[in-house]
Amino acid sequence: MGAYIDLLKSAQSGDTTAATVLYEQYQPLIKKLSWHDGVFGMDLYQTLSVAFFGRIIEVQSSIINKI
Amino acid sequence: MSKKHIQNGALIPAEDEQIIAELTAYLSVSLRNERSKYLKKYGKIRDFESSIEDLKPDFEPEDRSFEERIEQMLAWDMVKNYLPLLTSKECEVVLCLYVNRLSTADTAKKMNLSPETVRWHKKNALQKIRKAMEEND
Repeated sequence: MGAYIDLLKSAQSGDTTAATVLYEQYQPLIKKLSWHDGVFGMDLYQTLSVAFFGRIIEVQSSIINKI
Repeated sequence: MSKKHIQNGALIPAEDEQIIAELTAYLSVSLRNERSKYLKKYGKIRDFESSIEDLKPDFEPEDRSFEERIEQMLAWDMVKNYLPLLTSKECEVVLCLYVNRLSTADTAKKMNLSPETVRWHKKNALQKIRKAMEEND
């Protein structure tokens, strides 16, 4: 099993450093989705950031178990 | 372990590629859904909102009626002491013009009089009030 799985598992178990690494990695996606009508939505960005951490926890059980 | 590609400056092992692809796909769809939900929710709210700049320049909020009421009260306080000095018609004209803030034409219409007669009653009423005020001073 690769190091990425370990990173995901660490994030799930509450390792903030691991979660930050993943968060930084997906910043381009989150920031891209935060734009609306040519305006960067700070509120939308925060909503997506919160959603991101929620999904990271969910994805671990769905994707990791599959592999 | 073979190093396949670079992501965010880090070498990603080949065995992690599948999970990264799945994770990215999952997050992409999931966050897009979250974004749609957000825009739907706050788009509805934004439709009801209007900034002060969007309002017509001649629009005056409810304060106007409040302001009018205050002015009416002040006008009533000033005028009420002098009403006994006036005839019934003069009294009615003064109340219409200064308390109810009607125009001369509207007052005339309301009292079934000509505007000239209203002006006549107004002139006489103001003369009486002015005289009474000077005497009080």
